[in-house]
Amino acid sequence: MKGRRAGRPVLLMAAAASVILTIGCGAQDEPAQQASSGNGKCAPLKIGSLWEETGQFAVYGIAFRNGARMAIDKINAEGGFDVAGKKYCFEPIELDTRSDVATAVAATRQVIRDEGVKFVLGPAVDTETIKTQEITNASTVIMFAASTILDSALEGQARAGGKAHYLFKTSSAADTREGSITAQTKAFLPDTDKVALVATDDSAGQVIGDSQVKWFEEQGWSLTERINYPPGTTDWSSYLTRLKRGSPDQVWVNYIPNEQISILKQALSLKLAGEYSLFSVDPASYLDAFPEGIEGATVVMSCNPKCPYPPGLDIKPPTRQVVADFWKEWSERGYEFTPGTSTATLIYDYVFMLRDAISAAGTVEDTDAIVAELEGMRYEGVLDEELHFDENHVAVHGWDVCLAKGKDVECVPGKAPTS
Amino acid sequence: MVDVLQQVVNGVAIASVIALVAIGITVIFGLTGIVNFAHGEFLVVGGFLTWWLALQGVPYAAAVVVCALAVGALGVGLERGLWRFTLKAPINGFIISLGLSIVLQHAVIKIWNPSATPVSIQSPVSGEIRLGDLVISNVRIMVIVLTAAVLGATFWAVERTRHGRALRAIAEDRDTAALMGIPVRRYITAVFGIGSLLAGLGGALLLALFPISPFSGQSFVIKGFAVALIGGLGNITGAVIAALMLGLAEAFSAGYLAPQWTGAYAFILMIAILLFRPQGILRGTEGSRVT
Repeated sequence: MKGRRAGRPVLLMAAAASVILTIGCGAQDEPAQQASSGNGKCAPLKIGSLWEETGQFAVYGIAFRNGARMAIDKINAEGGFDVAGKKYCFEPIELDTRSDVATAVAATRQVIRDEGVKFVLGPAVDTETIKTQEITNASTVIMFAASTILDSALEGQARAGGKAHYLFKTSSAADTREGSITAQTKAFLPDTDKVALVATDDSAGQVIGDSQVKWFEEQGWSLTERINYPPGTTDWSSYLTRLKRGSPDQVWVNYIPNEQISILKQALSLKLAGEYSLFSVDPASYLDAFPEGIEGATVVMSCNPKCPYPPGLDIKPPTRQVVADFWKEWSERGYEFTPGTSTATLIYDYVFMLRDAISAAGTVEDTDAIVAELEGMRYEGVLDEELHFDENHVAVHGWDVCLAKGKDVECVPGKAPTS
Repeated sequence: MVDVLQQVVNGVAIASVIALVAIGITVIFGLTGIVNFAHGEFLVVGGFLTWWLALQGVPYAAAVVVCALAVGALGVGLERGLWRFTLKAPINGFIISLGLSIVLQHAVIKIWNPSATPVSIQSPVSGEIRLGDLVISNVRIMVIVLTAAVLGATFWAVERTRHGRALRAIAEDRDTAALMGIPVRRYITAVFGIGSLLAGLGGALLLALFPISPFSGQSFVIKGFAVALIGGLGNITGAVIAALMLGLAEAFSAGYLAPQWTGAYAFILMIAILLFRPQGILRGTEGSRVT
C-alpha cells in the first residue's frame, strides 16, 4: 500500500513532464524555414528573417514575415539574381522573437554568429528593434526594420562611420506620416474642432502621440486630453469615461490594431464622440469587426501604409495594379487578413531593393558597397511609385487614408511627399 | 456626478471578474494552505473555451455553462492528480501551481491560439441603458448581475448549509473535522472543483467584456491574490469587499489620477492596508494543516 502511494506521484509527475515536453516539442514542429530557398541552380545567400510570430506583437510580426516570404519566394522562383556573374537565391533563416527583447537579441546574434548572415529583416516593433540594430550595425550587417522610434536612432547616424550606417527604416518618418494623415483627416472631416488622444504608454505610443499633438495644432484643433494607458490594458472604459468630460468631436486612437478595435467598441458603447481616427487599422479589419458598419459615428483609418484589399471587399480599389496584385497573391497564399496585415507592405519591396543593390554592387560580402547602392536607389513597388530612402536611411512613401461612414468606405491612396 | 457614477459602473464590472477569481484562490487556501498560482490560467482556459464554442456557433449562455463545468472538472482532475499529494506540504502545492501555470498557458496557445494574440467575441448582449448622460451597457449589467447571483449563492452555501458548516470546520481544524466524521478529502476536491468553476465562469464573463489573451491569467491571478490578501485569506466576504475596492481603485485612478500609473495605485492600496491590518480587512484563516 505504501509503495503504491509513493509511486502514484512519480507516475503523475512523469505524465506531467511528458505533457510539458510534448508542448515544448510541438512549438518546434513548424519548420523554421518555410519560404523557398532556391531551386538548386543558384547559390544560397542566407538572410535573417526575425519577426514576432507569437506574443503581444504577433499581429504585426506574422504579417511582416509573410510579406518577406512572398518577396523571397518570388525572387527565387524567377531563378534568383546575378552577382558578378554568379546566380544567387535567398535562403531565409526565420526565427520567432516571441515579442520579447531578449529573444530578439539572441536570435539576431544567432543568425549573425552561427549562420553568418549579412542581411537581416525585422523585427517589427520598437523595443526589439532598438536593441537588435546595435548588434547588426556593430557587425556591419544590413538591417531593414519599420519601427517608429528608429527616426531618432538614425538622425545624423546613417552616414558612413555613423552608428546606424547599416540600418534602413522601411516606414516613412513618423512626423511626415502624422502630418499627411492629419491633413487627410482634416480633408475628410473639416468641421472637427476638439480632439482627444488615447495611446499605449510605450515608446511608440509616445513618439506617435507627440507627433500627432503637434499636427493637431497645425490643423487648428484643440486637444481636450491625452491619455497614455499602461501596456496590457484590456478595459479602457475608465479612460474613455475620463475623455468624455472634454466632449471631444474626434478621438484619435493609437497604435496596436486589435487594441484599437476593442477601444473603439468600448468608446461607442459609452457614446464618447461622433468621429474616431484609428492608426494602422484598415477597412477590411474595420468591416470584419463591424460588418454592418457603425451607425452614428464616422471612422477615419490610416492604413499602415497600404490598405489591404481582400477579395470581395466592396471599397474603392487601389489605383495601381501592382498593389492589387500584391493582395491577390496574399489571398491566394491563404494568408490571413488581420488588423496588422497592411504592415506586410513595409518589408516586401525592400527585399527586391536589396536584391537589386546586391546585384549592382557585384558583391554579397561588402555591405558598405551594398549600402551605397541602396542609398541612391529609386524603386517602383507596392509602397510607392518612387520608393527611396532619405539621407537618414528613412523610407519615403505615402500612406493610404480611408473614411468609413456606415458600411461605405472611401480610400485615398497615399503618395510620397515631393519635397 | 454622472462621471463618478460611470466610473463606479466601470469599476464594479471589472471587480466582478476579479472577485470570481479571488474567491477560488481564497477558499482553496483556506482549506488546504495551498497558494494556487495556476488559478488565473483556469480563467484563461474558461475564456478560450467560451471563445472556441462561440466560433462553433454555440450560443453564449450555453457556452458559459459548458465552460464553467469543464474548468470545474479540470480543477477536480488536477486536485486528484497533483495537489492531493501535496496536502502535507502546501509549499509543494505552490511550486506545482507555478509549473502548472506555464503548462496551461502553453496548452492554450498550442490548442487554440498559436500566435498568442488576444481573442474576442461579439458582445452576447447588445444595447445599453441610458440614464441622462450615464450609459450602462447591458453586457456589463449582465456580468454584474450574474456575478452577484453566483457570489450570493456561494456565500449562502458556505454560511447556511450543512456542507458550508463542514467546510468552515475543515478550515478551522482539519484533524478535528475528520474525527467528527467529515470526509475532508472529498470536501477539498469539491472546493478545488468549485473554485475552478468560478474561475472558468470568470473567464467566460471576461470574454463578454474584453479581449482575452493566453497571458491574461497572470494579471488576474495577481489581482486575485491581492484581493484575497486584502480581504483576509480564506474569507469570502472579505474577498468580495476587497475586489470591489480594487476595481473601484482602478476605475477612479484611471479616471482622475495619472493614467500611466493605474495598475500601481491598486497595489499601493494593498500595501497600505496590509501594513495597518496584516490579517486583512476581515480576519482570514491561516490555512489548514495536516498532521
